[in-house]
Amino acid sequence: MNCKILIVDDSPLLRATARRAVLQAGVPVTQVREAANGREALDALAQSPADVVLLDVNMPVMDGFEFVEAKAKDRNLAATKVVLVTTEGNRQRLQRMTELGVTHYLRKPFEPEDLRTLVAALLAGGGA
Amino acid sequence: MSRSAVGEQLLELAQQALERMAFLIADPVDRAPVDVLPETRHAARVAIRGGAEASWLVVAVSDTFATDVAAGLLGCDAAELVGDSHGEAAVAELANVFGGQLLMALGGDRLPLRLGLPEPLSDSDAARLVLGAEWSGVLAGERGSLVLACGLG
Repeated sequence: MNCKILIVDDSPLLRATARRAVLQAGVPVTQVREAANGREALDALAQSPADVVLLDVNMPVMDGFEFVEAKAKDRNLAATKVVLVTTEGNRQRLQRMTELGVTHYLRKPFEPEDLRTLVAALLAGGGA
Repeated sequence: MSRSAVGEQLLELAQQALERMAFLIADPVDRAPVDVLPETRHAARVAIRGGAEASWLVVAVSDTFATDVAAGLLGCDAAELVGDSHGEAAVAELANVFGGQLLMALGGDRLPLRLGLPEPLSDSDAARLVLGAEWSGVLAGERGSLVLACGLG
């Protein structure tokens, strides 16, 4: 399975970090794109779908929670898996994200290996 | 948890975070944060909203410390990083991560607290906030220092 990844983070440094982890995950990836916020991510997905979205939460314009709310309303995006990368862990908000289809979370701070492992498991069709 | 205990916990969590995300070892040192500030070059502030009063956190780092954080995140040698943009990005990410840890220490798992976006700070604003902080501390790495300060709403 060749996969398409969309990395969504307002920090170019963190996007580069995630890109490196994805490329080192040891799975066949055909495309890695980047977006700086949830709005840009929705626009990118409208142009071309992705299999996995690595989604930061704390972003300007449209944050990760707002992106997940918007994505859930678009049936064309139902197959896209979302990994929520977050520094916080409010139970109520995370429960809401789970209800909207988010199945994977990565809590900051994480080791690069954690992201590689998660991406490899996701793209292999499993979980982490 | 007392306010000073929150600060001490924050310093310990910051140490762990630096090691985990950037493979950077930094230890607390017995220096006044205000004395270390002139050695720093990049600073950012993040606010936590949702309570009666906003809490906030300031991170200030020396140029070499910021470079080492960026290099650790990217998995490259510090000498490979050219330009100046990585310093500001690194301190913003540190503010984001440490702010998230402060939010959780303040009960963010059950309270409706929200972390704001990191904002870059001028030297004078960083100094003003650190001087007025309820708690502040210093971590020293192999090649530079980090000042951490917070106000608890």
